[in-house]
Amino acid sequence: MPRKGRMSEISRHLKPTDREILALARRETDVREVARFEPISRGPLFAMIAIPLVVLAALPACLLRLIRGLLARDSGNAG
Amino acid sequence: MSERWDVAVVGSGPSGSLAAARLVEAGARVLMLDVGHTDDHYRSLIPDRSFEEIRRSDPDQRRYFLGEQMEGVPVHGVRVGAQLTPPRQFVTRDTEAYLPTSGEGFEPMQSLALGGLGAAWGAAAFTYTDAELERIGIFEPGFARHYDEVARRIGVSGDPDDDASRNGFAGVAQTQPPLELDSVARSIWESYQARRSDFLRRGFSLGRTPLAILSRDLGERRANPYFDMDFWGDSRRSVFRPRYLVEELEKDSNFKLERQQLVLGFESEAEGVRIDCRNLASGERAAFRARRLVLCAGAINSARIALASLRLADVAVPMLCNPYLYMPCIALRRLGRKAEDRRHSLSQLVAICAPQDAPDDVVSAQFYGYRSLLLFKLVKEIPLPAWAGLQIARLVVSSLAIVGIHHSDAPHPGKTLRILSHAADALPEVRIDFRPTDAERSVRHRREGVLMRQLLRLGVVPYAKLSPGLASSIHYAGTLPVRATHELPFASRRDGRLWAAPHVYVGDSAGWCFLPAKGLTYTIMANARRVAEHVLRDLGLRV
Repeated sequence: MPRKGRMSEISRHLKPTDREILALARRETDVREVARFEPISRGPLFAMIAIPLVVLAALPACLLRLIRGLLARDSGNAG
Repeated sequence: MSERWDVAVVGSGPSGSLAAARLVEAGARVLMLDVGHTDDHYRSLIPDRSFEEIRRSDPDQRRYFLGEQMEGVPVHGVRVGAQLTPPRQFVTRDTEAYLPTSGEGFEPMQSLALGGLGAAWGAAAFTYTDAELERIGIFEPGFARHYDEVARRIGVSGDPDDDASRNGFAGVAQTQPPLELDSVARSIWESYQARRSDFLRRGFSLGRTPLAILSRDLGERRANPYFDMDFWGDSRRSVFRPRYLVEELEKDSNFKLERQQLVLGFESEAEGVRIDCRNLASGERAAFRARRLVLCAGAINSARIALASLRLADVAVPMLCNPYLYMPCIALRRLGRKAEDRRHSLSQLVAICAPQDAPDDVVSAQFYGYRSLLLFKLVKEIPLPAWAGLQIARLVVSSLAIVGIHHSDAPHPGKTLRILSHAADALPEVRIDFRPTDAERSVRHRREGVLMRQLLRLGVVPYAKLSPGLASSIHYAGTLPVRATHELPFASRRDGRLWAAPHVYVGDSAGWCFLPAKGLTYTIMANARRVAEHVLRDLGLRV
């Protein structure tokens, strides 16, 4: 498989599910939750450090999700 | 059978409304035929307040941001029409039922709405150069006059003197001052100005997007309030919608709008045309008579009507569509900084990339902000769990620019449209085969590479390249192409008239033989006005 195809396959398995997005959309349009969806603005240096940290913190969950997704695909269950 | 009108216009979109306006202005009696769906639900729900204010205070925001049926939450991949927010989805209502279309990978957006696709227009108002108009087949000396008159009528703001405007907004005198840039666009603009001569030497120019949005009041319409709600509602009517013009025309006794009419075809008669319709409310057939007919149903549906009327089933006609893709980008200078709340939602800047050694090798890019589209759609595209994606989205959203890229398109035997055989009381199914060649793909890839290098030099870092499909630019053309002779049974003439039906004119982009790498709507309007003047001359009315 070409590299680009393999990357998009991995990306597909890592993306949030439709159910998660639906729940997020409901929360985002709830006035009581608006603060949790405000843009974070604490300077460019903070953002540059924070983004890799969030990615690193998310890695275990990403790997778990990827493995589950690939297993589901191999057993023919992938949507 | 009803009375005979001077002119019947099919469609109420950008071309139909401007053609009708010019005809009525000259004293012609005009009948407009359209289904004319409107949004009667969401419009009344959306407060006339800023996005930020609504987010903080309106407990009902979910109803229009997500839709009553949650239709604003995309549960499939990126597709054509995904950009339509719930209050805009009336634009495509009923099209699957009444305008059947098939074609592998080509899913066009069509409309039966009042104002047509113009009801969801992004309002970018680009002009074409004389060379581009000539290649399209619609150039006439003085064409620029039509751009000016359209600008006067609909209200266009922009700066005709900035760098990109030389290629995309040249010579328009009737303009309003440009709108203010948002903080992301301003930082990109400052980076460009700092190295402007270097960018220009490399064939890259940047300017404010000319927009059919008011920066000053015009008649009953008001200047844009910078509420950032332009994807959701038509606050103060500052963004032009064709229905405003139709509503204005309805006050004139020489104009009538017949709604709920699905035009099925036309039949030439002595000194005129009979137009056959189906009333979608009653289900009954109706016929109207006019001395001349102007097809303004959009390139796909004008062809559908013309090919059905001329009994040209299974005849392949050309099909054009600007290739389109978009890239979410981070403007590095804005990362982590607070964005201003005062902004509009539509295109802020336009870049034209035309290398000096190949001036025809043009690609254009428009820069949009993202804030008012809500974060969950962004999180959906981030390959991280939702909680982590949300934190990233909150960090980057104030520095996010969505760059939409348009390429040009020219006819090729692999890109065609045809109608299939059909019953008399329905419109035929349209089959579109649209297969760009490897050579075309390769040229686009190269152009995108050149453009991306310039974006990086501006400090704008693309992190994904998304293609919503072959039909996603929503710029369709070329189906009834202009020809100098009657060599093809479906061709039209430079004045818009169909060779095979001399009382029928094509007022939209169906006649165009080329699509430049820019938005086409403003030129559709100017051309409709040009065609209307040919109709007036044909009828012996004073232009």
